[in-house]
Amino acid sequence: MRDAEALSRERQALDIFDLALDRPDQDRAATLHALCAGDPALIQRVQRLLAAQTDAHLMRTTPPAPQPGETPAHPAQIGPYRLVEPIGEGGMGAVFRAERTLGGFAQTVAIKLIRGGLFSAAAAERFAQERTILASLHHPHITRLFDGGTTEDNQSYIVMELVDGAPITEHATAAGLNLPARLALFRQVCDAAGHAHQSGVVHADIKPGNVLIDPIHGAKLLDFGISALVAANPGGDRKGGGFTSAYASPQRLQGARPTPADDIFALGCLLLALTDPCPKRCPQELRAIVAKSCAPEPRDRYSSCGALADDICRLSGGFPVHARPSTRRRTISFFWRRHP
Amino acid sequence: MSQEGVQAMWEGFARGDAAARDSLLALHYQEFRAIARRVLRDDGSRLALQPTELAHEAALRILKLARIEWQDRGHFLALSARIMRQTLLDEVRRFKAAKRQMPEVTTWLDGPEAPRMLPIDRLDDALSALFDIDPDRARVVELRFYGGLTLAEIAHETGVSESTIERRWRSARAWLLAELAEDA
Repeated sequence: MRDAEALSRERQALDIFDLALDRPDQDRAATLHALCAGDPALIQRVQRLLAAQTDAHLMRTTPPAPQPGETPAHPAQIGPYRLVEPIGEGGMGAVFRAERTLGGFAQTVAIKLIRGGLFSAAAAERFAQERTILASLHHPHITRLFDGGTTEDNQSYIVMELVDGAPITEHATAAGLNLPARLALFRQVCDAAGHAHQSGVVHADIKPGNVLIDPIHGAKLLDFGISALVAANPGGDRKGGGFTSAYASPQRLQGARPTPADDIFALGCLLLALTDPCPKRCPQELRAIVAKSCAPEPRDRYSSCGALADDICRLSGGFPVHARPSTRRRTISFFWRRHP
Repeated sequence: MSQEGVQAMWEGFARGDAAARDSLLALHYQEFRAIARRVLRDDGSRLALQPTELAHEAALRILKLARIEWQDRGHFLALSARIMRQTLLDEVRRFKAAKRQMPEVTTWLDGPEAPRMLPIDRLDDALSALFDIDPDRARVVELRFYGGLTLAEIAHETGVSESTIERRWRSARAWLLAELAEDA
């Protein structure tokens, strides 16, 4: 806490800073001396503030987030689809439930509509990339892309499979699923993420809210909005913003580009969130799988989603898991658990 | 609360009526808290968030809730900046107090190479210190960082010229960066 005199000196330094910045560089030293009436401590303080100017790019003048005010009134109809109601609002735009009638059958889809107006070119590019990525992925546990394009008033949109379900953790609680049922759902998520990785895509934001459970088709991995192509754009700009999740690996929190190892880390967190409330039949092994998935160093994690899914399979089948070095004693105890 | 009652509060708030402002704060505090809590709920050891996004999310939800016209958007975001800052920090402190291992709740400043992460409560302490020194300058940061208003919108909301707002932002930003660098 500064005393009254210190506060007034700081204000004075700020005022002088403003005046000094308005002068050309070469006059600045003289200006400073004059404005500070030769007070060396004050000169030094203003110089410190001027030096901090070099970090000014760290706090941008233009807000990075899109402005809600620019949200356009959404069109009532996009192509053959009639927009029924908004079902979600993200940083980039809104998602609507939409319908089309085809040969007497109503098809319900989700339409993601990008915000118009002052939307940044980078975000538009990201949206186009999400569309490309989804188009390249074909997996029963990844939301399908049906269509995409641009409306008459120049808003981009994508038409996707609508998943009518709750986030995986909420679903498991509401349905009172036992551990094997939870593990089965989790394996579907591993399969989906593994398929994405094999197609060269990192999801980069795996969390319960992005894994919805469809009552018929099981788990659906969705929202590839901040996902990245593994090989594309090395040293690119996918840092900082985007993730708000506790599922981010230490590397992601440091601002590194997402890699498959970060997805595996997030899967480990998801597994923990999903199985934590369960009465633990294999607590040791489960914990070992979570620990291996969430190892601080990427090299200590599972080498692939497939390897993680295999260990889940082993756990479900009562076999010893790879996450812990096997011992003869444990193998035997597993054998007896399998064949009581 | 009737729709007319809320509308009257907004009209009062737009006229600068402090009682109307306080009623709106009380009315929407729960919404802000719910959003701040949802973000903090994920029980991670570390957590990164950007207050601007939270304020925008809150604004979107409440505008929908209260059926506010977009003409009032500037007013509303200015208001939500203040509530979000207060609510978020309350929740962050509670969250940290409730956890033995004291997880860091961080935000980031954008950089060309990598974002600089810093604890959100430290940023807020610095902003509070700036409020003591010069509330006018600190207000610009609050509206900008927590409300996501552009400098032009801040000028419009505060009735001060845009060039003045720009100067205030420039010096407030340098002061904060110097302050944050000092106790890094």
